[in-house]
Amino acid sequence: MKTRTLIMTLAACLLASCAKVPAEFQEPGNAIQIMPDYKDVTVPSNIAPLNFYIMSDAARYVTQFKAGSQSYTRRGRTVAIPLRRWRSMLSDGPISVQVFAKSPEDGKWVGYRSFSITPSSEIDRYVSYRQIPPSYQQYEDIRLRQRDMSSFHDRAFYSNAMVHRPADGQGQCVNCHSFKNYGTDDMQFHTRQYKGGTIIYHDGKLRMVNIKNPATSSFGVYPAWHPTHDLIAYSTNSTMQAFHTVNDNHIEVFDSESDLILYDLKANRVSIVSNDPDQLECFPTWSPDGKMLYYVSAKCPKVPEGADRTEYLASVYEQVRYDIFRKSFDPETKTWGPAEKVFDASSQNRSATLPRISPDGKRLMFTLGEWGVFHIWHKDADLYMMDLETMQARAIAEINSQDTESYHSWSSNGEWVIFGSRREDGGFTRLFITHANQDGTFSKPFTLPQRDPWSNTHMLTSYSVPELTGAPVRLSARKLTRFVRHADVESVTF
Amino acid sequence: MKTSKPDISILLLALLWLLMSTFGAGYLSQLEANGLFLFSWDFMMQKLAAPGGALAYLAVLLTQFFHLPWLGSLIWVLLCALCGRLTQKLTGHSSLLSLFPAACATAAAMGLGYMIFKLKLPAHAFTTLLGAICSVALVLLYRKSTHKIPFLCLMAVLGYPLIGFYSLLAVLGAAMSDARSRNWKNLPAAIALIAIVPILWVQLFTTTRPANAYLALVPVFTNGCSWIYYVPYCLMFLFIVFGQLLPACSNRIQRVIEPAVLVLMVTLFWTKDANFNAEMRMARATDSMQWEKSLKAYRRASTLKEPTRIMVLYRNLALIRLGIEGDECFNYRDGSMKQRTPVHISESQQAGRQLFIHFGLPNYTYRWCFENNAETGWSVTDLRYMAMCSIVTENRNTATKYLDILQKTLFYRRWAHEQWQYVQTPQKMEASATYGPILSLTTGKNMLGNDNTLLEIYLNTRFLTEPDRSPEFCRVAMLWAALSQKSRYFWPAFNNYAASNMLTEIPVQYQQAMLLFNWMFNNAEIGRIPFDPEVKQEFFRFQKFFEQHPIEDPEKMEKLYRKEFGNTYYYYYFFHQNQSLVFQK
Repeated sequence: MKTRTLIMTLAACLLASCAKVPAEFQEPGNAIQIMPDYKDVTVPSNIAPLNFYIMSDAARYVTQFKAGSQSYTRRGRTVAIPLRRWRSMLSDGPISVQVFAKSPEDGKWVGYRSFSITPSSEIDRYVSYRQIPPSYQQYEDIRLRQRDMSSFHDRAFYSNAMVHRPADGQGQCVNCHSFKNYGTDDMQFHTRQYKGGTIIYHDGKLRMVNIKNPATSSFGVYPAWHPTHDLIAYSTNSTMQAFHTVNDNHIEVFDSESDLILYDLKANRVSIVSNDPDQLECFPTWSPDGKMLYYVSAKCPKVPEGADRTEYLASVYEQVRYDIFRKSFDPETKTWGPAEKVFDASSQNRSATLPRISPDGKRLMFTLGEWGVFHIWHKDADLYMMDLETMQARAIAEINSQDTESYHSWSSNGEWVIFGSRREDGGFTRLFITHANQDGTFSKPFTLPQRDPWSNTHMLTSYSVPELTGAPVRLSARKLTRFVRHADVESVTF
Repeated sequence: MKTSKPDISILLLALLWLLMSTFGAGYLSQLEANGLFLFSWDFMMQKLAAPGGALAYLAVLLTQFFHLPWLGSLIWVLLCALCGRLTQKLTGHSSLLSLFPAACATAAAMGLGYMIFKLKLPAHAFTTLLGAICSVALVLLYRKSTHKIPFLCLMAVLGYPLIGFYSLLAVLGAAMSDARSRNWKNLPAAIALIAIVPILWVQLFTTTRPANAYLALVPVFTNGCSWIYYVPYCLMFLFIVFGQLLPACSNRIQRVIEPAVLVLMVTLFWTKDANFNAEMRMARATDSMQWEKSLKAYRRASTLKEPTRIMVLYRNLALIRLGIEGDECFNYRDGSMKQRTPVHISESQQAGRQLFIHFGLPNYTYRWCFENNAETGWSVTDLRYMAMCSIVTENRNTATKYLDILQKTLFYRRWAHEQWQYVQTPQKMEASATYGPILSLTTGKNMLGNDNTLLEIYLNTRFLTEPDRSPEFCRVAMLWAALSQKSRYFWPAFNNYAASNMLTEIPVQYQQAMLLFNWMFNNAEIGRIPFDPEVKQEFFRFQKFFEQHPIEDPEKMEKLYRKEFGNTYYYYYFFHQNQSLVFQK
């Protein structure tokens, strides 16, 4: 009995992998509907198999892949491609995919229009992200995860569930993981509340630092590692949130105060970069040579005397619009030049956030929304690109959608961008990858491949803050947990 | 004995089924509404990934049957019988006390009350009962095994990922079963296995705190809870481990004490709070928009004790939806009885999902669904309301996601299927009994704010101060203004209400309010208002009565006025929150 079951299973596997293309079929001329949409995409040559599900209803399905001299067919509605076969096809150049479906009515086969998957250069192999339920004030299980994009391997390198005790009112939030120069030898993330601090891994050592100082409005929040020196620029933010009664955007997250600081890891010292009380500065990011700090800043509405600052700012949230600025920086003397406006969004009644410079230093990608600083909750938020030579900016229409586009990261070779978008279901952030073409345009974005094509659809958590690295995080979740549990928090000098 | 005892146990189980499916129906529906079971591979794998996954999966599978309380209770009672039968074999003597673990599980299941809103263990009821059954069954298997130590190891190593804590309980129970023959040699091995296996498992395969290893499938609450909730669990665990060592009792003791112990165990812990049960019934009635049913639960509970504010809010919603708020609202007893709960449960956390959307605030409902999910896991209620919010706000993709997931449930797939029409054709919403009234309240200027978990105060502020108003909004605001007992809110609200709704007939209790306010403050021109002669006559009678019986001591006069004017606005005005102290004509 057992032998028979085994033989049948093996036979089924064999049949699935050795399906034949029907000898006769009609060509309806229209394209097949597949989920996720991987039709005619350019992909990194080291990406995991683009498994998909055929949305069009039929009695039977056969999918044929052709790459160079290779041909591979797969039977079934869910098309899962073995890793080795996929890599072999990718190495043979563009892959042509054609789906054949058997009509349930007349039993005839239909061959849909084929589509292509074109491999290009490699992308940094690992993407780190925060897996989080998109809740507002409550939280329970937040993980910092890392996905090997050349396979489906995905692991948590930190989980608050290993440390916090929400049942005893000792919850811990985790956020803002960041790496230096696409490597994992230098990294940092924050833990908040229970066992809170900034965890920094540098020179092979772990430290937990409290960057809050009487002169700063908060802990260090959004980080930016200096590319050549042991420095991290942070924004300090007093972040508030309030809810819309009648608006597509459910929530407004805003800062009642924010400044920029610089943390010198070697000296364990914090200095002010910008703390203009009339300005709200945020999202620092370095130019690749480390000689310029880009950031966003908004004019803070004047709070009437006697009014509650937070309440007042909540009532004028639509007036807070951020522009992009930069300041020159001398890493040796640690001196700053004057602030220079790079992109004037507020004059167009728009707000620019999350500036990120391409590795060649020529392009600046940012998010533009109607107002505010926290664009992941803004359906109107789109990605924009500015040419830093001509200073001309444009909406990247070829990758934007009707829904939110927000956090984005360049690959180390500047040929890929990974970004978060809520285009699939409007509520949960998913990761998309797009190829940056030589002419400044971008290829059709595609979602980070999953072993089960449905897993993103049914998953009720978001991917936030995608950061690319060439190497895996060396520290295990257990080691980081042990450290956070027992670490003594270092105070910084100011 | 063989003929009488099974009869008593059957009788007790039948009684339990009756009690659960009637008095416990609201609570059991809430247990079901707080959980989620999906017929999907992903869901199963997700459950199996955690220690005790198989038992957790089975427990959520069975909990969904509480959707039909009679069916869920029947499954419960049958499992109790199975538990009793196995325990009988464990203790070795036929006794009603073999139902003790099942009684403890029932007490634990039915005794949580408001703590179900803080409970982090999904499907806690069936988890406990199935856990007890598994533990007892494993101890019995151990007794039959010839290789004791290997079997003990197998129980711990294979049992822990499948049934979590209950495998550890079984290991201890198995070691104690040897103690009946004064054989203690396996006890150290059992203790070592209990200490090592969970830690190793958690370290190797999960990302949770090592201390949580011993709590796999044990109920844990947000922000802790009173020790009293753990008493039934502890008694059950103790019985499974040590019950097998108890000697058989004499028939006389058995006949008297054993049924008493069982009944006492269940009734002592059973949540008997009428307000809690009414809140649960009203929440479920609101979910299914059975407004009459909601009012019926309110009426029944308010005859027993003063209602809670959440009951009052559910009542107001039901009255508004039935369109009788201006004629009947003050027929119902009002109140602000404190909920009987050891820890604070915020109004928004408990009832925000249901009430915000029905009062035109889908974003707030959406928010509380997410907050609840973050704290206690996903539930069918969360998904239903999130789907509704997405439909109302015309977020097609988001609605599709939630409806797709609900299609994988047993009892909500039909509901999900029915909602597709609104996703595909949002224009249909206006004529829909579900979405039409919600849409009419979602109009107006967008405001940014926060309920700060205080649902009623937030709704109060909204309906008393919001400037942009649809006719439906004015109707709801009118009730809020009348409930506020303040003429400064009442008159502007009435003017808006009358103008926007083109009133031809004024609801009776609003007429009473107008006459009262005019008499007291003389601050409105009511000469042209067409009052019902009966209302006027009643008001004159009230005036006379008031002059004859001035309200100097409200506590003394309350009964007298309730008898004469209990169903009027006058009574509400003077005796709700001691308004009479503010005004003495």
